[in-house]
Amino acid sequence: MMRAETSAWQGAETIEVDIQRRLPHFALDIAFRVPAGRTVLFGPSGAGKSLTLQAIAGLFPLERARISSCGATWHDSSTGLFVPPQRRRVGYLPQSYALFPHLTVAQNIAFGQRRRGMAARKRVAELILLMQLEGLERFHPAQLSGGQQQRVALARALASEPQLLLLDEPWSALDGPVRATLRAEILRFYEQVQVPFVLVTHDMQDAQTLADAIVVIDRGCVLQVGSPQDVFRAPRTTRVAELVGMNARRPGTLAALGSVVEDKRLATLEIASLMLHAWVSPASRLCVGQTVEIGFNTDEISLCLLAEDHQECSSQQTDGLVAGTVVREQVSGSFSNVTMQIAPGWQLDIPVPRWQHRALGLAAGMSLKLRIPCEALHIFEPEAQSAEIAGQTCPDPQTVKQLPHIRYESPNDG
Amino acid sequence: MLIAEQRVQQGRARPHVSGGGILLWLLGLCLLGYLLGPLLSFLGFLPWSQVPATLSDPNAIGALTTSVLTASISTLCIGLFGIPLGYVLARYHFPGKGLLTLIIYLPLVFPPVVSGIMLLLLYGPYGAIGGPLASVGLEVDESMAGVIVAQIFVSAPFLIVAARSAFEALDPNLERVGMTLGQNRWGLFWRVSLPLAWPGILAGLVLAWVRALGEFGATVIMAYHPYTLPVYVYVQLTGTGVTSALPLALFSLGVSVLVIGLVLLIERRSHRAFRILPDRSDLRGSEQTS
Repeated sequence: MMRAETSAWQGAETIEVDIQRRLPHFALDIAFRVPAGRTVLFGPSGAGKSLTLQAIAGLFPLERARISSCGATWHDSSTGLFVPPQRRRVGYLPQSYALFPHLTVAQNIAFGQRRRGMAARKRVAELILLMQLEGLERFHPAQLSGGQQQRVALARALASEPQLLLLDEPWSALDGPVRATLRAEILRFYEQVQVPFVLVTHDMQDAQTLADAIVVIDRGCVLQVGSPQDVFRAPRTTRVAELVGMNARRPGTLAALGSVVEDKRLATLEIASLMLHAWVSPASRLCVGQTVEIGFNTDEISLCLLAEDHQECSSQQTDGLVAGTVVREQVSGSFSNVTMQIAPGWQLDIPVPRWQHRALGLAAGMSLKLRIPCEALHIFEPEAQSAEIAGQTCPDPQTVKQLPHIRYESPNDG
Repeated sequence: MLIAEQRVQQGRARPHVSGGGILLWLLGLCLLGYLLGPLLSFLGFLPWSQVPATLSDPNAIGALTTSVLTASISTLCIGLFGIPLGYVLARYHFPGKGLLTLIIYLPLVFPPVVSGIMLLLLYGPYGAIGGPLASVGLEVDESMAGVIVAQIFVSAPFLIVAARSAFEALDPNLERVGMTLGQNRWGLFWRVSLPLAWPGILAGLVLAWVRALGEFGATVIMAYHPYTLPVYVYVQLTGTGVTSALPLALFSLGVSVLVIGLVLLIERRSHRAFRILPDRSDLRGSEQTS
């Protein structure tokens, strides 16, 4: 995977949003630019994600705005340009889909038809086939299952030949297994029709599974734009870390910085008198001796028996090997959450697969070795942190746009 | 599924009745009894032998025709202008909206006789509107037009309020989606909002019609002639007494019940498709195969 330059995805194939709106108890100030593909707006409820989506559709009035999609400018308050929602060619799927309850499946799909007569009927028939809705043409939405409703909503949106699909937490009202099915269906649908989409969700799994690019939104601001890898493994600030569930964090001191190798640099950190390694970006302005906040991707940490020698437990020189004691364990799905005491006053929760749990004979009080690779550690850049702590309402949009974190696979990547 | 389960359960088990439930029942039944009392005593006092004669009296039939005709025309006018007003109030925010809402409720606050006097001042032979109309031979007072003017004034609020809340109750996302699908406001109104708000609007129209049919206070001031049924009942009561007035009341009651029943029946049938939902569990199978 190559790190694409910002300029590589400028122009026709991007979605650009820069909007502002002040409400009595809320200020929306969102700026991001992403390649047209699978974009997820991720953040807690009430963050302003849905309003952003409505703004892209032209359904939410804005004070200042610049919105463009795939080369077409939809809103530019500096020139007074505003394309009404009727002419933006967006397919909008709100929460619970908002199918027209008084119309049948076929009538719903035909609602936004741009063609007339025979061509229109043919197109509806095609869409019914495409979305596997044969036999349901005369049903009303209330008679359909969640999955069928989603397919009708997608077909209805497609009938208007949209350039962009906007999905607003479409399955928020549904429960676990159904969500997983519908998520998979959206992915399959995307492979099939290749219409770029922007999806709003507060669900981490939705964001990880569906996104090429994630825009993290909190309290009306963009906190980070990046690939799922960036956002979930290397959150820009501790607030983003909280939002993506990176709960293990601890301050440490930068003890040494290695030279730049390829596109990264090895940093040695002293955390609670333990020496651990981490990768940092060559562009980082960290200095030796500086105190930094460190986040842990605990699923990168593995456990091995004390008796195993260094070679068996780890082949990488940069891996940190630390002794620890099992404090407690808790079953969570197919994993056990094992709490390890690794230094006085420092505990880490490590997910351990069931088979390994059994192989190691895990029990409370047991002493084990932890293998902590560089990938498990993430250093929060102090500048980003201080900007957030200073209570600055939103990070400067320019900084967000030019963030070097974004890694995309472009077609010419080997 | 829930509805089906309840239906099955109704046959076998009775819901547990608690002390609080009994109290609520008793309170409700008190009012119901109060409402039913006058009706029962009315039926008791009714001189049944005179009913056929009174009902075949051409004056009574004339009064009934006038009432039904004027109430229907009034309701049509109220619908034509009131449904758009309800929609505008539900969808748009503008300064003075609160004041406007207050004005809509005013006819409900005024005693109907006062409404009649105010209407007469405007539409009467010396009124700002009635004067010019009378000079070209269109006399509003003492005519069908006068009856309709009075009826619209007192019964329009029922429809406006019902239509407004029916439009407000719709999921705003339906219109949002409609817009992205290329529909403008006019198209959305006709294709999405009106059909979906129709049950609520129809209830408002029925209320307005019933109110117009029973209207007495404003009508008697605005247009004593031609007699509507309520005015004719009053005339009979003051002229010949209770015995000749009572059969007319039965007449009015019968027609109202008949019309409302008919409207509600048609409504239920036409909306069965999406309002009374079939059991979803019997559709699950079809999804698994698809």
